[in-house]
Amino acid sequence: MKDRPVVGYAPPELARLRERTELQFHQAALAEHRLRSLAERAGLRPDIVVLDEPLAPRKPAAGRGSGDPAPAAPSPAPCPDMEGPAPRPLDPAPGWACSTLRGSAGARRVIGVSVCGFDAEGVRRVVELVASQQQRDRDFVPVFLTDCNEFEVFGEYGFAFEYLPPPGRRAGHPREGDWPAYAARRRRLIERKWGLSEVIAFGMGEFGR
Amino acid sequence: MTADPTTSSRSKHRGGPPPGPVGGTHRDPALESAPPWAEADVAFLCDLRASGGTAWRLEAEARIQAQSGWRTAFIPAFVPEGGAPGRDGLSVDGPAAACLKEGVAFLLDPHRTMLRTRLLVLHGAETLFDGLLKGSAEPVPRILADRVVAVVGGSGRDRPPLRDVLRRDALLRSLFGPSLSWSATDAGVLEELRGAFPALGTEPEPWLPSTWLEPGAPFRPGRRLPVVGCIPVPGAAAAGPPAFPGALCRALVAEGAAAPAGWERIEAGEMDPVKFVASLDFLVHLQDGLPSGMPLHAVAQALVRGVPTILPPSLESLFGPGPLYLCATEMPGAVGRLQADPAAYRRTCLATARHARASIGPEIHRARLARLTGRTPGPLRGAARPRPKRRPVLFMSANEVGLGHLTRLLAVARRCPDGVAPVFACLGQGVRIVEQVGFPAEFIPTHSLAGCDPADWNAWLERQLDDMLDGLGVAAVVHDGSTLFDGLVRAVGRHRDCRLVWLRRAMWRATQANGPLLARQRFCDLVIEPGDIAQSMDGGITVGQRHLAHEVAPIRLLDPDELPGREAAAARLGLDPGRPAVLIQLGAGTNRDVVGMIGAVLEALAAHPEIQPVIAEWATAPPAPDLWPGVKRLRGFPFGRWFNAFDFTVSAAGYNAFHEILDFGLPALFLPNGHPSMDDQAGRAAFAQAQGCAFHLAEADRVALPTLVGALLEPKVRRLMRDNCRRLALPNGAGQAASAIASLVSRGISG
Repeated sequence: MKDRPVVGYAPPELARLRERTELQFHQAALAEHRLRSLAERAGLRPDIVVLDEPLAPRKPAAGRGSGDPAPAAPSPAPCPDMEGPAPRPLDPAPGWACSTLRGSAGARRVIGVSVCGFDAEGVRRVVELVASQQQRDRDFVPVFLTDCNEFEVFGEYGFAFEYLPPPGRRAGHPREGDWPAYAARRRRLIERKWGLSEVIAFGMGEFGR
Repeated sequence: MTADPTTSSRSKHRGGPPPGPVGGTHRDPALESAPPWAEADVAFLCDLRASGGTAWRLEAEARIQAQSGWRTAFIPAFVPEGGAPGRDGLSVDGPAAACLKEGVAFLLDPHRTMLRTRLLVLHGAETLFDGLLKGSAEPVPRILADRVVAVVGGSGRDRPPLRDVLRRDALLRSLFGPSLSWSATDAGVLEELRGAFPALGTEPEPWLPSTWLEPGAPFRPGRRLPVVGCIPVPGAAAAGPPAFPGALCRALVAEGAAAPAGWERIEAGEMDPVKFVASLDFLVHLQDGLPSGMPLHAVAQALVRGVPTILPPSLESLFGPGPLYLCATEMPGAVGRLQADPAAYRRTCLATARHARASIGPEIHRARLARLTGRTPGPLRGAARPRPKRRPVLFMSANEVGLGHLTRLLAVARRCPDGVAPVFACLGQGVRIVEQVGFPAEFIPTHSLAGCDPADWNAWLERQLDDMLDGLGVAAVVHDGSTLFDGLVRAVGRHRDCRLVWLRRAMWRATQANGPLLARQRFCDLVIEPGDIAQSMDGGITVGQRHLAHEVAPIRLLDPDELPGREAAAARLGLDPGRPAVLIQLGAGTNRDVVGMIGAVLEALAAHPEIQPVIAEWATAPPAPDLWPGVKRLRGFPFGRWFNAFDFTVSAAGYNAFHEILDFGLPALFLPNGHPSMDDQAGRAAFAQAQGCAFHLAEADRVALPTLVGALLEPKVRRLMRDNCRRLALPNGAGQAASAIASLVSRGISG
């Protein structure tokens, strides 16, 4: 008989907690879905007011406007990549719906899922799709790469994610002028940080481009 | 690595190819395919991973050369086959890496590029090319140098064994040509070389230390409490540390060294030594032993910067005039006298700098360069990278529970003067809000958000911040949060020209064991404590540290003139201004049962059908199911802007909501969040009730909700509360905080 693999072993109490989290996530999702359906059938629409007015800067006379760009950052020194040895990649949370993936002995890949150029609803649809695929395969953990600044869905599903602003929201960024080089460096760092085995892309937009 | 940017096609025609590979059968295909040439005025060939004395000497000399307009090449002493310099951290680290990042020097890949230089300096020559001497194959850089000096490092306890000197001399001549001479950083070692090897060509004088100057004021402005620092020498026993009454005592501790008992300890990896000495009002050396390596160079930096430096009398022969020479028991008295007399302190600073610049300043190295190359270096100019007029400042918030930290940072950033360009790093879900307010935002998910190990996460936080500080040219990081993360401290500590500011609100709960968190303020250049109207209730640990903080009035995001009047506010929210409206804002719900409490509040309000209840939903919380159909919900930021639409609020008592409510005079029923990790919200709520500004209700006493709601519907009660709020209202301190930050970043690290 083979020894139980040490990697992935979880104490029984923790394993039970993960199982319970996974189960309750599914039950809560179903309850919310039923509640929304019933409310819709009863003609009850949520009355939500979204407050998104910009705030003007408050500063003494001759202050800058909020759209005034920051100064260009100094040019990088002419030296090669000085990153040095990378810390070990982070182990991202597998998401609430597959909580038991953490602590299980099976191999799992960490996959980058680029979801750019979507609004919050579009991102939600992709997250739901990836979550159901994950529940079927149970052999990967996604890390979402997004340019949408509404992050709630990732918290709802318990997934890790990274963000870089889309072209329309880079105004005033100190590296706006040489964004491609800056973003390429950020993408490399993110890939190493999570140990992404591959990046799959949804939509036309590319993360950071 | 591709060809060095300094590579010149013109230089291909200057001189022939340098000597080929030596020792063994190594053949470098790059040689056969005519590698490009680079040019430098001075090249250093040494172990660029080192962090000892050689590394600091290398940095000092490279910076002096850069400030003199000379071009410097760094050549790793040995690069593993197939690996380029700098990759995988095999060849460049510590001070050398900092020079490369700043463009003070360029890195030469000896596998791919040949070099022509006026002067080649082999630092740590006593160990160079050991492999070749032992007969093994080792790639050799191809360098054409007009002049070569092999410098032996170390002195005293670190004096190197002088092995194979003549064989090594022959090898170096075969590699780099006959114009080679030897020197040593220590006069005694140079004498020993001359005595033991009379045939060896030696320099007329030792390779004395020479320290560069940073532009900026030569002395520090006075502080309420002086900071006395020391850098213990590894392996040496610390003498009994004297007490420095009324001073903060900090030790920068390298591996193997011991901090004096009772001193604040900063590990060598947590702060760059130059940054450390620049933060001091006094540097003392408490050991009789000779400082060497990093401590020696830190003393030199302190001296040329004019930081009053107190050394034991035994070191007078080494450092000469400039430092004060006193035994340990006399040091506290000298510090006290100078601190009490600003004019004497200033005179001491200036005298220290004047003497030091003559004995260990940049002219020592510049004269050496002139002698060795026959050329006079250009006049000294300022730092290698000129500072832009507007400098990016990174506002970093750790909002994992609510939006309190982020809101304070936004309040300050909105009021920063022109010299500061705010950029945000959100560790929680606040990016949309930052962008809504009009600032660029980066996102770094916290370990709790990403569900990963905190230690691993800190290592990546350090890496990511390091990248941002370099990439954005950040002048300061302003952190609002109770934890100064390891990764933050280490990344900022390594960047000499980047300050660390802690925007730290008070009212920490007395029951929390927060001593270690608070002690991390030793890493900060500035701690700003925003005032709290309920300050008299504060029994937390920060009270005893208030004298070390820059106190400002309570910080608010909004000023009163930014709030629309009742009619306009009600119209925006779709409320009837003629009926009472109540705002329920109980927090993000990440660490308490907000849903249950909202239910209880709505139940209490249901007895008054004329009331229009409105639920505030935190912009960072997942959208909740519509549990109360027909009740209006607000999503977005900031809620305070619409206060005039409401008659009263049922609210948590976090810092920002509490101060907005009292300053804008909105009658309130406070239901403080009592989670053990939170600040003392109950203290604030109790204060407001005692002052007649609001009611305070503990979560467990919900049964009293209907009574208190009934009281709040009385116009007389609300009027009284408003009057009492006006009596307590304070001006907004966000502008004061912004000015303090701007003032800090406008000074160089010498300021």
